[in-house]
Amino acid sequence: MAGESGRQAWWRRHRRTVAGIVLLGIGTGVFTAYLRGGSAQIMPPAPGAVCPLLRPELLDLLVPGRDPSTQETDRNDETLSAWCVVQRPKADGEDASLVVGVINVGRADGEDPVTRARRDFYGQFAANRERIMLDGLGDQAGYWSELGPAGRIYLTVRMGARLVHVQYRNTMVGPERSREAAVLAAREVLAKL
Amino acid sequence: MRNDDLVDDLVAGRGGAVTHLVHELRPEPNWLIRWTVAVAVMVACGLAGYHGSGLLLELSTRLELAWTGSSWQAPPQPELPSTPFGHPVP
Repeated sequence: MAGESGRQAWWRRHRRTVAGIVLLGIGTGVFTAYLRGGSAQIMPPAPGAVCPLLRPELLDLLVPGRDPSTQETDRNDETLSAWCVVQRPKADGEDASLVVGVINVGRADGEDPVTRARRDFYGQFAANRERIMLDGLGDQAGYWSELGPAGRIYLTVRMGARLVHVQYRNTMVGPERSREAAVLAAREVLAKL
Repeated sequence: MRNDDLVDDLVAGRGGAVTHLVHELRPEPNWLIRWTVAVAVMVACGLAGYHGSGLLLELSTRLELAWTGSSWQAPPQPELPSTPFGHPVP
């Protein structure tokens, strides 16, 4: 056109092409972002050691005659966990053991950490055992126990995107005291998190 | 084509005269350059969307974890039980 510069002429000739490419580019970016959002796996920070959170005198009461506690860490998909394992030698045929874990949950499968932790909380229960929920412990708490008077108790507490998991077995006490011990261990850890 | 026909076509917006004019204003595109640029832009936008959303998700996840951690009110430490849960190893 008369009076227009080279840049203006280029733009007039190519603006529809540029607009088409830009729109398709935005669409491509949104699409890959959507794909990424559904598949992103983001790890949480690693939890600290769990054994220092449990008073030795409490461990002595929960697992009498215990061996020194051992610490473990685990990594599984979007979770990082730290564990404290306390066991009693089976010299006299009795068995007592306490396993306490702190599990930090991250993002996976398009779900934020809290949603993921809620899903993991329900996933801790056994499908064929009674699920007993507890009030006053974290955001959610519940346990289930294996069959038999000395069945192992599995207690899980969720606080936000973090789980505290307790496994307790003691052949020297009944189910009620085993439950009390598991709750004590969970409360002990919750108090120091 | 007669000149009269050419003028008639031009006025009516049809035929070879219009095509000629359009090509004057809008030359044949260079498809090689056009497709090269288009593919490069798609790849760049795709990568930007993928990594950009990854960074945003990372940031939002960190913020959410920090927020849930800061809003957590730790309960008081439980009292020690009065009796042990069993007896020591003989």
